[in-house]
Amino acid sequence: MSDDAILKVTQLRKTFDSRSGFLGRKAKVHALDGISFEVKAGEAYGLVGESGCGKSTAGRALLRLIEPDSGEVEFKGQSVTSASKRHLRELRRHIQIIFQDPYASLNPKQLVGDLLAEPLKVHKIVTDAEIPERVASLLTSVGLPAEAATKYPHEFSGGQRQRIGIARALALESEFIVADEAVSALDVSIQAQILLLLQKLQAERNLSFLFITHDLGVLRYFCQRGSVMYLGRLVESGPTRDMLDRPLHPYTRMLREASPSPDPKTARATVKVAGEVPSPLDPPQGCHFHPRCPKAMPHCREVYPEMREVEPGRHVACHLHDPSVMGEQVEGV
Amino acid sequence: MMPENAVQSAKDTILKVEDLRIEFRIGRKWYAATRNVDFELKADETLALVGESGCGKSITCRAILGLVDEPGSRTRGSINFKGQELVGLPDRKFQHIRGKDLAMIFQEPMTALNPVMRVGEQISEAITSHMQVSGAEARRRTLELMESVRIPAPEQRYRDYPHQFSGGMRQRVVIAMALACQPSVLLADEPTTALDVTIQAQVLSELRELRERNQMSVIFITHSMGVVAAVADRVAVMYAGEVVEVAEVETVFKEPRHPYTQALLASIPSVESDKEDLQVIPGQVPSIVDFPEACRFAERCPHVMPRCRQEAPPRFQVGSTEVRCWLYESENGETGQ
Repeated sequence: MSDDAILKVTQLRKTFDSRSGFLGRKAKVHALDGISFEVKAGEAYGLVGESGCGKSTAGRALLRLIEPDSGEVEFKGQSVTSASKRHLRELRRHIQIIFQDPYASLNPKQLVGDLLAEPLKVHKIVTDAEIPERVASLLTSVGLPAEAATKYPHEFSGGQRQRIGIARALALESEFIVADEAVSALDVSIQAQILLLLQKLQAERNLSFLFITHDLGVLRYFCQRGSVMYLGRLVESGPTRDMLDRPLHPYTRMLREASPSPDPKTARATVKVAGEVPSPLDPPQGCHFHPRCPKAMPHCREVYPEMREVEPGRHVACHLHDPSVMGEQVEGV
Repeated sequence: MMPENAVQSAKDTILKVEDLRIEFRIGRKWYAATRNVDFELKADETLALVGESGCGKSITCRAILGLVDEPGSRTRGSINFKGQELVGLPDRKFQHIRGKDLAMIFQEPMTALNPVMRVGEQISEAITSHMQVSGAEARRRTLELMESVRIPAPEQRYRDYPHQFSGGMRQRVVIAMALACQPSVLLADEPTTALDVTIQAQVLSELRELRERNQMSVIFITHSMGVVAAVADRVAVMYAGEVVEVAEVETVFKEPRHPYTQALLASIPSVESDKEDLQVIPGQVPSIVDFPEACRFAERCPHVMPRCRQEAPPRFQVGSTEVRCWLYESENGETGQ
């Protein structure tokens, strides 16, 4: 673990059982097939991929909201994966999660003030007398008026509800936030407001983020580094700018080209996207991406490529970048 | 009001919406969900109707399809479709147009498909309900349609049920149904919003091809400027129930005129380049009961002037762009902003 890492994930695995149809054959879905990454203190680390790639499972597994089957999650040098119940509760004070649909995570019958007071009481952060003051300061820090405490969640718009969700994640003065598609359901102008708010909070409180998203624009704007996921595995990791300007993995390139860019000239270039994501119940042999890959080789159908560092700070799982497979012709994508 | 442009006027207007006003009754009062909605759809073009949630883009689409006249709502203004007035048209007459010459696709394909009916039969039904053809002929056309929207192995998939299709394939089925009667106008309400980006890219490029091949016009409703850039020929930007700007697609991205359009474009995080700071539009869209009588964007506008709070701006012509904003009042042309 490098010195400045706040969170370290090693070979995290999670398999779900699935039945195809009533009385159908049992099958296993490898939602997380051994993923590893590190988030540095004060950094926003992005996890990007299409639906079903396992990115949300990853976010939940590191908080043990879903118990991983194997692998290791370390937060500030302490193991999350082997923590006792009591220790886990203590750790969760420092790691909080915000969801895509804040409304689904806010109790509709609770006043916003009570919603924010609850974690303060549970973790005994402040005395009961200090609670109203703390709630008010939480609300102002996310750009809501202090009077919001006396209202119910349904009285707020989507953007404001997301602010309440953020205030609740901040209530315990946590240092690490897992944001699972936190801005995806919002209109762009509101999305910009929330992104700026998160950025401001990140700077003020030295927060670190695992930022799960499907939007490459948001990834580039908010995250310094990140990983691209495909069918339960990371296929490329590195600084987001480099990944988007010079993708190494053919899947990263495909995602990049498919992302609608607000410019009629580039947006109309014929997109070369082949096929669909295969069923995670039955991922292809060898590299999971080979059936859609424009550069697939016979070797790709047989062997899953390992993650290798090909440039300082940039990792990719692709045979095209492996000299032992390619000989001298290592791909300069 | 349209630019005196030879190429423009050479194309026929197929659908013309004028001063569309859709009102809803809340309590005892009527509130205008949309007003000042004006745009034209020309033959063989894609017009994007773009705006954020609650801007009135979907309700405008439903009005064109004659789907809002429930009790508690009323529609004023004019929707002219190939010379026929659609506002106030009895439902009995609408049924001959809707789904035939005016087809539609929506965001969530599963809600448009019957879960217990074979996909091929659903497409066939779209054909036989509007056209006098034999079952065998309907089946032949269905297979052709499935082929044209790139559903692989149509012969086998004809007998499959919707749940056996992926999201992208389901949307293709719905598109095939919409194209069944060779409509002259297709209304597409956020058809790719629920899809992953790689599938969205496929469906968008297929829609572009289909529009060209079938010589139809498309009204494409979306919240995404990226999607607008990928599909539209012209763009109508909506804000709080009004069309605030209508322009050619290149123009809208190069020279957005309305302060809302400008702010909207500046608030999109770019995939391509590093933006120092996203521009944030302060505040939020007013709710329907609080829509201001004057300019509806005034409270959030960085260029607001006293007049903006007194009087709703009319349409001004700036180059080929039509814009509802007082900034462009002086001599009907460029003003310093």
